[in-house]
Amino acid sequence: MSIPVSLYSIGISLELCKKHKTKTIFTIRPERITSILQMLYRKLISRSCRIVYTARCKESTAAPGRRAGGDKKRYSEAEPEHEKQAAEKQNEQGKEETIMKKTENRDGQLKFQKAAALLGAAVLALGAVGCGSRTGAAGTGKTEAVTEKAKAAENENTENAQAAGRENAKGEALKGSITLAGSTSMEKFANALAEAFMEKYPDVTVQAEFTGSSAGIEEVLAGQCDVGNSSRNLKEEEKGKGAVENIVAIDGIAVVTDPSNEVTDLSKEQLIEIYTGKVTNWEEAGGADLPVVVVGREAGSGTRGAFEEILGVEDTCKYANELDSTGAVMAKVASTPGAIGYVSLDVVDDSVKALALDGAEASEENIKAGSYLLSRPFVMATKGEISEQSSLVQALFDYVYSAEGSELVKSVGLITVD
Amino acid sequence: MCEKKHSIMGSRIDGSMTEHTAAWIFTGCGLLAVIAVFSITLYMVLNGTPALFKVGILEFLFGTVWKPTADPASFGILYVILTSVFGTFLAILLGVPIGVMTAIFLAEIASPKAAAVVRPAVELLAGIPSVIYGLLGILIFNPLMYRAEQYLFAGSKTHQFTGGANLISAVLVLAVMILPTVISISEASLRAVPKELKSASLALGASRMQTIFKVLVPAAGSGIMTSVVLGCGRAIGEAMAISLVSGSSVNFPLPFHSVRFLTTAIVAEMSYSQGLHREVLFTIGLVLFIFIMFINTVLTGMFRKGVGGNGRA
Repeated sequence: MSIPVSLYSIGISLELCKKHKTKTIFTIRPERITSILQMLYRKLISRSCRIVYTARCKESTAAPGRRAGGDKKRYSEAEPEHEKQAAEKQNEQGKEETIMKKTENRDGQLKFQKAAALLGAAVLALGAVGCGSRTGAAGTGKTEAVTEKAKAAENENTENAQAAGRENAKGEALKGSITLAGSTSMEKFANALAEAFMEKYPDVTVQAEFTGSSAGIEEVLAGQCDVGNSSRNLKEEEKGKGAVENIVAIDGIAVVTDPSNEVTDLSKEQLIEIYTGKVTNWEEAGGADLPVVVVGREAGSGTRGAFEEILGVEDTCKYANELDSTGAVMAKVASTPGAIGYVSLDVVDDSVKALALDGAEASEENIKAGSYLLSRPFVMATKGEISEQSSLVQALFDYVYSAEGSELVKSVGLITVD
Repeated sequence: MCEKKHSIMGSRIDGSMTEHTAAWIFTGCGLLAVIAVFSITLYMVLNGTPALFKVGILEFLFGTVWKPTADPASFGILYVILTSVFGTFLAILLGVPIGVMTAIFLAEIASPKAAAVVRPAVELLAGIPSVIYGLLGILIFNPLMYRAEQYLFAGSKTHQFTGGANLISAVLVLAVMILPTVISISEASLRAVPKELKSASLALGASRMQTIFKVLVPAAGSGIMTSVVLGCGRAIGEAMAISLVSGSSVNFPLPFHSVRFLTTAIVAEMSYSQGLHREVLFTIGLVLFIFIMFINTVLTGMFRKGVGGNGRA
């Protein structure tokens, strides 16, 4: 906006340099306005400064040549010397009077304000101390009530008698902490699970660390954490060491392009070629003569990791745009003709078009049936079967596989496992 | 204005509690600024140097491959550094002449009515948050640059099309962002030039434009240099606005390439990084910090020397 303004200003300056006119326009000096406002303020707000007001009036009438509130001197001001000095002296006297009275009044005001501030601070401090202990007491009372309610609700909701028995026993004695470690892609799910579980069992602490899928499985096999989160299936050697694969949710990745693109489906090979830079024009993929703009995520993203891992193109992708959030990818793809990008399945809306891969549309049914290739399981691995774990971990898995857990899975945008 | 003497350190002559407390409060605030700068420097150095030695200084500063999640990872930020330097330089090249000429317009040539339109517009520009510039870049500059790209590289087999998110979009956004700083400081320094210089030059027969460009601008030189330094600081430190328009792939900084700046490199990958990757991001912050210190000291030293040499105000 300022480029046209500046160009306009250059134009005007060139135009005006032809005319050598100087105009003097009468302007209301800003200092005048502020001094008038100051006078009004003092008059209205502070009674004690009435003396100041009259003193200032005296000052301004005593020296007609000087502007009120301004100290500027001009070379062009022509005033005889002695008049100047007399006016100055009168100004100083008037100012001294006003300052002495002002400081007296202000001292009194300052003392009052200091005392009020100290008193206020003391009251706030006492209140904070008092309130803290009160909310602490109220908090524990509340959590007891919640545990009671949770126990009651659980007893009501269970269908399995054995499950009811287990939960009953657990409802009384659930205390301790569980550690989850592993995939960063599961961060949203793990945090939501931890929060919901801790709300249900307030004496249990669930801690989640995000160190990567492989690191998480290693930790659970070494016994350093209770559950290892992994956003891929377990390898045979990991299963051989005793890790049990408990799939808790499925994550789908949709490949999207802008709505005006004619292409509606791609094969796996075409997708790989687009992302590794071998195919650079939509013509080669069956569309119009439009260059391909390859959009992806930044290096640490779980979506990027999953996408590249499933297609087998880690470290060989050539991105034109590496954006740092799903929303940014959606916005870019929606507004750029010829763009292609990948996002989580749950955020796809009407502003972009989701492509079918190898003939399978990107939908929940196809993912559950296994025909859509860009899907990955979210695994919460344990060392040994669930029934061999501690009661806390068993309660966690019960929660995840229950109706509440399914709600949680759907609320973070994943697909439940039947 | 008043005759009563107030010493900032307080004295026994007027030794009331208020005086002493006030003096301590002001000293404390001043110390806070010093402590803040010192602790930021210390924090950056402490967090930035471990990765520097783990990766190796030469490989880090002069390597060209940035693949932090590969196996094995490679952290080479040469292209990133070049992009920051080059991008800032271009933004200044574009923004400073326009800014100085607008300042000349506001200070010398504008009638009060025209100034009353332009000055509030400049001040409004200064107040707009940087994210809005980024959004405007996405709305306006990216489509324009994409069309330009399609026109210039039509049929090219080697160019990677970026959809308009490239170095030029980022440079345009940066140039618009540094304009308000440059304009307001340059205008203030032009107004501060003593009127005698202008009168003398006009009296000697110079035309208005000659006076402005040969007398006033050199006289206001130190102020204009200050505005350039501040604009430079803002351009090199900008992260949010250009992360939306610059494309964020690590490439050599040519105008139509998707590029990554030092600032956007940190912003883009901080949330998901872990381990060595995260430490390397802190090292990039340290490099950026050193750059800014360097630019500030060099440019300040330069114009101070210039002032001493020419003997101008």
